[in-house]
Amino acid sequence: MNVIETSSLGKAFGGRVVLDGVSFGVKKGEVFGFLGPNGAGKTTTLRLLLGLLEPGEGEALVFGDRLADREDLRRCVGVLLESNGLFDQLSARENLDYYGRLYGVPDLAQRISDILALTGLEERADSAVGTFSTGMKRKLGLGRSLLHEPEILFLDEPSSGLDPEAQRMVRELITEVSRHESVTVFLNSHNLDEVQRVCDTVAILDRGRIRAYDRVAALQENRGGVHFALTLADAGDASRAEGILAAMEEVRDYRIEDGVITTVLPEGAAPAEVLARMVREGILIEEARKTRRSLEEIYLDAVGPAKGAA
Amino acid sequence: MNPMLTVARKEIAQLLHSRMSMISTAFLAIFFAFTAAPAVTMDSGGLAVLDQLLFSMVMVIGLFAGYIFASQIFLREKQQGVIETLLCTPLTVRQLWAGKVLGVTLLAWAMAMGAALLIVGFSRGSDGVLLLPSAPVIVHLAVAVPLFIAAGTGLLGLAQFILGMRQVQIVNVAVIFVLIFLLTMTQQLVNPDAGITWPVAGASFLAGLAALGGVWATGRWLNTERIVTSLP
Repeated sequence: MNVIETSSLGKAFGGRVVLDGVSFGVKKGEVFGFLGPNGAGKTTTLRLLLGLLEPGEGEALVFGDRLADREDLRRCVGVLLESNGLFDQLSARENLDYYGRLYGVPDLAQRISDILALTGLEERADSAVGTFSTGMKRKLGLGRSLLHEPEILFLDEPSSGLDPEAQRMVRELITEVSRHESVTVFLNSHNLDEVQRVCDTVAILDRGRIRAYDRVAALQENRGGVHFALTLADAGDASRAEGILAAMEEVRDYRIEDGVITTVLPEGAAPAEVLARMVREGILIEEARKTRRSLEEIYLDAVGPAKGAA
Repeated sequence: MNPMLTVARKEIAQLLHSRMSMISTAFLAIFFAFTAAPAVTMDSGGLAVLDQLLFSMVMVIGLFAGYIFASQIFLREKQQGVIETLLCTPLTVRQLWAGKVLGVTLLAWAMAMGAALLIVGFSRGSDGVLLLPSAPVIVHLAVAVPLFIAAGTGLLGLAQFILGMRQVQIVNVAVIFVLIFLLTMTQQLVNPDAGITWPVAGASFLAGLAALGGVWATGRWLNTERIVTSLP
């Protein structure tokens, strides 16, 4: 059963269509990555799901209902938006205390201690948040979103402003709450590496429409034909190899980098033919293997290279 | 705890931590208390002048404090985008607004009362004896003044929530001019021959109640989408 669902979702601002016919579903316990370039409509979709905006067309449902109408359902949802939702003049503890009271968190003092420990901010618990670094604020914001033990977590670029170690902490935290506490995570992100590591399912949005939507593994397997990589025994053969590939009609796309050729053939084509041709031309191959497309390739394919800034 | 009280409590804590807001409001209260007090001392109608100054000036000081605090509480949260996270909590937008108004009002009223105490403390009758305000004025300060502050803050908070940033700037400039004008007028219009009677205090209370009721009714214009789409 889907706990997050949109169907034919549309939204326009002043006649400008921002979302058009967006449909997807997220199952309980799933980590869902929502990708797209700036201006694609990701934030608008998130706001529609959170009940901050009214849909122009279609529906945006959480637990089968509109969050805008259900204060009780909003208790089951944790949110980390672009802003961390923190008050600079208050301490980390006071910030958590405020949100804990709004959500009616039981045994609040203990829960606040747990969150401060989880985010590694115990020593700064009583310092004003205004004195925190960007990364510390982001960590506290993430902790705040988990304070009331939500069933669904909406995260908007949770790793932005974090150092690599903290980014890893965020990834581990997302995986932890999803696997062990069955928390559903809706991850709005530009960080393709992060999405590839933690997400089960991905939707790629561009110019208000869904361009790709499937399980990450399925997207890597199914789209764009047969992918494989050839490692040349001698990198000096690269230009000759390029000439051969360019002459082969079935080779759709290729790239040569540091003596490694990565190429794509249509569905059903045999990589062995390319390999045999290379060998016939006297090019020695050190290694040949089928590859899976990276999420970056899938993303660029979906949104087009010109808009592919990740 | 009632969610509205939770919000109000947090707003008070936040304002008390905000040194700039507190200093500027305290300065305002002290400055006008000092400038008003000599009018009482020098005038032959001492008590009547004191009553009139307390009746009008303390309310305007309270409104001014509410204006300063509202910018900190409503506008800043909108500028920083914190409001978006708050709108995702189990609070309704009206509870959030009302809680903020309550927090701002209590603190602004406390500042206004501080100004009232200063005015009384520095005022002397022509014989040099400390003057105390009349009972209707004390009741007015205790009951009607917070109603007017709440109404003013509520209206300003509503505007800061639903209007775009440029419109809010225009509203803020207009409000500050009106408040300065009112503060000046309260000293100009003092009439030593007139007093503050119970009917006047009662009328003021009813007017404050009506103002607050009117502002509460305008709360129907509060709309989450308007707030979110007017974020900077």
